[in-house]
Amino acid sequence: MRTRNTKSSLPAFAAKLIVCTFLAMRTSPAPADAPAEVLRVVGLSREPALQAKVSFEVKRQLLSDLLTDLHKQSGVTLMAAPGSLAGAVRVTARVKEMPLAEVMESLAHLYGVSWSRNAGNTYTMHGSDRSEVEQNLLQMGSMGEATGRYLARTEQQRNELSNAILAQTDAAALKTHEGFPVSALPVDLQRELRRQMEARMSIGLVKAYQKATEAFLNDCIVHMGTPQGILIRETKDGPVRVQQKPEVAIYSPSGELLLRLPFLLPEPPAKRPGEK
Amino acid sequence: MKKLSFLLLMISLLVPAKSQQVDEAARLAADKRAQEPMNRKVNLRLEKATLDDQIIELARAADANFIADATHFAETTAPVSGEWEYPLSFLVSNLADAHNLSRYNKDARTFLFWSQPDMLALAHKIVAGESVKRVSTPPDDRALDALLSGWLQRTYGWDGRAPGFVKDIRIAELPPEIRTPVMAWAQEYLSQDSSASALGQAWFTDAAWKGASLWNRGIPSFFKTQDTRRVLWVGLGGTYSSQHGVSGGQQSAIGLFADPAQK
Repeated sequence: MRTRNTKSSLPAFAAKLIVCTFLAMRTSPAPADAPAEVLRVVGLSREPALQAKVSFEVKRQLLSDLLTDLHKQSGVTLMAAPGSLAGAVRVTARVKEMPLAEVMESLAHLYGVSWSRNAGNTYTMHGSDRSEVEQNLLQMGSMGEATGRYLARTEQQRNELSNAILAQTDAAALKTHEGFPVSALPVDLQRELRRQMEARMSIGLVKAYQKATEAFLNDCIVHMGTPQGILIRETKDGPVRVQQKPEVAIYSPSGELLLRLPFLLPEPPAKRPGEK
Repeated sequence: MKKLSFLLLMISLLVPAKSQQVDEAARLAADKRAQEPMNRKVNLRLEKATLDDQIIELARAADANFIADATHFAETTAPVSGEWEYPLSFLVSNLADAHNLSRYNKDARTFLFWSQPDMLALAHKIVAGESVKRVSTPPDDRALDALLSGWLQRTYGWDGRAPGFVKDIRIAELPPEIRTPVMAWAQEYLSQDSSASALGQAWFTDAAWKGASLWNRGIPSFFKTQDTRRVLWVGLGGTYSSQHGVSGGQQSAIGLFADPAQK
């Protein structure tokens, strides 16, 4: 899912526009001047033609073949632009009565592709302009789960490493201010220590960067306003009533609070006597 | 500052984030509704099922939509047979764990799967400077405030103060002139906290490891859990030392926290 940086991707956008227009002219009798419109993923759900429900079960099917099947079911033509990866990536899926728009959104999220509308019921899939790092960040999926799995999977390795290090080091040196130099460990232990530590630090780093991707943020909720009512806040002097304040906050799709900014609005101008 | 942000990062990995008080009951109710399909018990029966079969059979059993990028699935996987009845969340996690898949819940009934990328290789790329694309130059807090206030006033007639007005909108659904600055603002804050440069300088270089030391000072209280006796962890020397009343040094250090009774 993405929006476009009009500043940096203008040439790419123009190139896609030309390709789409060309394809539309070749495949449909629509007027030659009918423009191709690049749709943001969210726009797909508003397309009347894409509300048709589709069902499919496929195992390692080429995405290009799946697009053909979806055309047969829905009557909507789904084309793949050159370089869109449709002939190179595979899908395993079970989908039951899902609006075509949602299937297209899901494919966009999975592979980083985008869609444009041509004349008539024709849509074109374009290749990803995400960097490899961005695509990999999204492919990490739900990081909370990945983290839990990683920590559980590596707990035994970590304990084995701890034992190996304790067996190789001087217990008294470990308790000194200077500690025990890593460089004095056997090389294989140094290497394993570094691998495990870096892997563990990677989790936080990857998690933070995943949240900063455009595709992730597109799915987040921006929450604005002033909640009704009074908050009761516990303090050391007892409960205190606090008037809720206007704020803007951003929540992840799973409901995690990512950012919060109190509105810094200026006070409304004081009313003069008699003023309504 | 680098040490502080590094410490914060470490803590964020280990200490479960205290859930912030979210005041809207509606949001909680919606979250609960979204979780319901995941908590529902599902009966899964497999017979010589490959990874692809397992994905399809589990989707069928749960009456959910599963879509997987199978491009990098292993050519052959050991077939699995058996019958299980567990909540869908457990079965999905089990499937992902067994095949090293990552997943994303697109909505309550739609799950996307990938072969999980190598997290360490990805972190190295980030540390090396490959980052996420910024949508625009971020506005400062006041500029964002003014932009949103004006838009909320024009669109919903909200004066920015009256209680009882709350609007939740997917960022993708904001009008472009609002979406881009909101996203740029969020990108700025979120990537600022990640401490990639601090990590890169501290631990993702050969030089850092050459100067690193191991310490064993017993298990700090926040590591003590029922099933954890030994924990290997990392930190920066100065931060760790100052926590323990020792003058901080510049040398990098790794904490090797072990139960003293074990040695």
